[in-house]
Amino acid sequence: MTFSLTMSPSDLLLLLPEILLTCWLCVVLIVDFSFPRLPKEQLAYLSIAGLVGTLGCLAWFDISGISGTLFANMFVVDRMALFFKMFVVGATILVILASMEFVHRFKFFRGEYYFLVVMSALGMMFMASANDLLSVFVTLEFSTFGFYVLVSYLREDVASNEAGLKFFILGVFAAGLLAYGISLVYGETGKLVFSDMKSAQATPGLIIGFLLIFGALGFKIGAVPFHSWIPDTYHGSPTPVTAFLSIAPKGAAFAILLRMFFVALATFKPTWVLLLVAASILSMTYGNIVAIAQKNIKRLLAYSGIAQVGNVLIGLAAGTKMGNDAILFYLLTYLFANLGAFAIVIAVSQAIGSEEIDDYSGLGRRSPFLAFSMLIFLLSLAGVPPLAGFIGKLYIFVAAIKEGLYTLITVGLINIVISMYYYLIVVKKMYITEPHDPSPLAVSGPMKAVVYIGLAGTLIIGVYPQPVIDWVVAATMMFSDLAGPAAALPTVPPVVSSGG
Amino acid sequence: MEQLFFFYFAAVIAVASVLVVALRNPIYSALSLLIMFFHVAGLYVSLRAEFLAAVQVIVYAGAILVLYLFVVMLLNLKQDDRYHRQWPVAGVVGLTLAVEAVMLTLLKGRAIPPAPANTNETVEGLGNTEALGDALYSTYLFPFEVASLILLVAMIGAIILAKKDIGGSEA
Amino acid sequence: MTELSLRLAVSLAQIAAVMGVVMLTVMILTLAERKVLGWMQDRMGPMEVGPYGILQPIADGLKLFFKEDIVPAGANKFMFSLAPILAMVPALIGFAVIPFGPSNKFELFGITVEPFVISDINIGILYILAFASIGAYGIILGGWASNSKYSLLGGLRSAAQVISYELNVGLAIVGVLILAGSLSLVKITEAQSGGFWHWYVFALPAPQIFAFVVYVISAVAETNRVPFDLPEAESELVAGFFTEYSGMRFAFFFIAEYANMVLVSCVAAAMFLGGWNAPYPGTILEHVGLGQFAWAENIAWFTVKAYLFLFLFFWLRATLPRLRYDQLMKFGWKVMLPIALGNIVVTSIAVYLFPR
Repeated sequence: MTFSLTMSPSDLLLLLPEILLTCWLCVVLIVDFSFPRLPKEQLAYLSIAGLVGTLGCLAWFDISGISGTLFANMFVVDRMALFFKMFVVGATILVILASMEFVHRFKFFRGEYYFLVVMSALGMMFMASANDLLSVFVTLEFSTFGFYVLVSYLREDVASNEAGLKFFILGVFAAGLLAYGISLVYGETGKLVFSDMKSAQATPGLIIGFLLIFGALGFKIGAVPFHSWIPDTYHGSPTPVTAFLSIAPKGAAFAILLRMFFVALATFKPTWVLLLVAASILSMTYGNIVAIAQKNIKRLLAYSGIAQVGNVLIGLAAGTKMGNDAILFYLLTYLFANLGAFAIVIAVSQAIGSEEIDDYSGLGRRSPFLAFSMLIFLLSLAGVPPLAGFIGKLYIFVAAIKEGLYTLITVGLINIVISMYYYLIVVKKMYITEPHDPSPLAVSGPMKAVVYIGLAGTLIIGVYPQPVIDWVVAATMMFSDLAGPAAALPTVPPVVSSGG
Repeated sequence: MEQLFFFYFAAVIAVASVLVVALRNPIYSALSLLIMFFHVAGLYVSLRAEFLAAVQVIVYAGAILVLYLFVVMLLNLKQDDRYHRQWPVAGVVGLTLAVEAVMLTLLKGRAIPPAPANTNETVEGLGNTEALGDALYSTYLFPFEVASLILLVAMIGAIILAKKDIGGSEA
Repeated sequence: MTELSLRLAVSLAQIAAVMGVVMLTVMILTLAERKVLGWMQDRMGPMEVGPYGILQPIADGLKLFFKEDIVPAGANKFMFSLAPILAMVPALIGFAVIPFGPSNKFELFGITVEPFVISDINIGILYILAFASIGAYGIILGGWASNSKYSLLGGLRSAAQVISYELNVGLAIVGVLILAGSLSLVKITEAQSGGFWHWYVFALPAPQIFAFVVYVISAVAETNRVPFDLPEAESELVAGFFTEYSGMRFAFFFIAEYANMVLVSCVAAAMFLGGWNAPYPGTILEHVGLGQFAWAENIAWFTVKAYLFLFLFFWLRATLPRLRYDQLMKFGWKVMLPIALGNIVVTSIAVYLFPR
């Protein structure tokens, strides 16, 4: 036998969290169909147990500094990968908690819902570790496949079906772009692993290839001009899935974007900075302006999500280690605020069966807890001190200022003002408008837990961000050899720095 | 000789691909796709990847396209109301790709390192299938295993989306 | 250039010979089927044309050849003509890689000739599977192009059936491939030499008996024979996908069906029953000192094995009633598939534990 696989148990250790989760998932699936009488809440707790175990395993890796690469550099475990894995797993736990009530709306296959959610999370964990184009492709498709099903889970709901179809068709289109881009890059360089491409020549094929790959990842994070699926898909999906979709894939996709831009394309930085600046400005402006006109809270959050991605892209456009720290930090604050906001949307929708902003009238009287939490989350999304969102935005803007991206920052600041407007419309509805029906709302236990976690995250990071900053700084240590601000400044084209 | 085969296969692939979208009758489109699959397989053979060629025919022509035909026949698609308003978009995309192809061809003269694929000697010595299997289960084990997970998700997803109401006992 | 043309000439001669044998076999089969069925049902079978009716196939052929060629109104003429060809070509093309006898290579004007196999390509069995899967197109397109509901239903049924059972055929032979370590039918056959206990259906460490059973059943289903002949179930669908066909076009479908039977029989013989190997070590002719004619004995054994299978096809037809459509699908996916998968697992473990 000419079997040239060389893997030792210590190599397998690097895959331990994923293997653990995969095995656990199989257990969940088997339990689901072996005990049909089992209440599906038990499955949710079972899934959460597996995720918590995985989270513990990842934290152990992070603390004890276990890292390395596998399969000829295709799979990498470093602190950044661990950060994003914990990010995804944390988001998944919150989403499952937030879904437990909502799941009763599904007529069938309630158990498989949890399976698919965790399976998508597994795909995103793999994405965080993907270090070559082939792995990027399969892991991206893996995580997206689960979402295709989750988005159209409400089978008898036309909106859900429409959302699923739109998401699927555009997702497959993005997959096609990705595959085509990868084939071009591979044809030009003969390499798949990011770190092997450092010396690549800037041939047209390579540039087009990477543009296509960026397009596919842009679809994943929902940046303009690849955002067209977002409003309808967010609107039609079951709300917990929308919450999941709005945060976890973005984190995982940013892990890939960071590796792609800073490892494979480090030499082309002046070029891609322009690209990112454009994408960022478009995303922020488009998202915020269109959000103003929204009547539905899910659509509002969808457009606000597009705008938030624009903010994150500012950090990427800075192209420095600090910018990368800021991305990680920002995504973390976004996780708490956004999932918290969606949790409240779910809670309100469970109680009054509506997702229109109009029906949030008088929420402050009907459920002071929900209204106050929503206020905190929206203010954090808008970036009001002393909440986490403020520190995140500050961090990103400082990183960009150091690079002299003044146009970008000006646009960003204007956009904060715009976003403040539509977030405050919701707040006004909640606190000032009279309720149509003053009866109080009931909130379930798991939902309260999600809201409390979101509140805790938003407030604690806002007041005392230092531990988190230390963490993200350590997580992106792999980028510490990037050129510092002083050296990078001249390379930034004047087009960017002369505006304002 | 090899060049000749390549250009034959490439030309037929290109023409057949255009016909897939240009033909009005969906059955003819499917048949063009079949022709294309065969010529892609031929291209693989000319690259000495016989295993891939056979798998290409078995999977795409033998299974996937038959299902397409199923759907097309059962849906009984109208022949006229397809693709009409998409010509401008198609034109723009096609033009871009054509420019790209021309650019790539013209710039071919520059020093581009050749793709370091398995050299022919190792493939000859080991056999095409063995070489592929060896690469798939060692270097590319990770994407391979992830692909198997994709299939699991796809399978369960297909059941969830497509299965009719089950018994009613599942409350 | 002369070498190329010489090679071409040799190959064409081989192709012509194999095609001749296959066509002859098909002719014999049409008669043999009726005779065997007659014998099993205690009647005579065709007796009119020639002594004991042995010229019946020729009469049938002539009849079909001179029949009026009808294209139904509303049929898609191009597809209607294409379908029989698409059905027949894949059935015949698979014989290119079947080894009918030992590889007695000899030199002819400077090129090596393997007399008993047209082309020994290293993915032989995959090649056969690939073309077998194309056969479904002829059926499905024939059904569609006829513009008749019976034809369409027959075509759809048949395509679903062929795809489902093709999977089982493919999985059933994986065990053999693991044992042989090759996809070439020539190498697989050679690895089974030296007595029937080396045939893969019996060979240690992992006898492929289950795989063999799965293969035979799936092969019957894939060729749309009784008891899996739903695509042409005459009591439900008149004649299934070739209801509207007549004359030579019908003959094409007919030949394709029988050629497919011969092909799956040859593959079964080569994969599981040692191909041209005798059930005892070596050959008798070799032992009595006529080693140069040993190939004749080998070919005889191959023929016997292939005809054994063909007889099995007739036997099944005389014995078993037709399955219902859902039974057919359930049987394929819920019984055959797990057995085939289990066989792969067991074989892999066995080969891993007892490497040869």
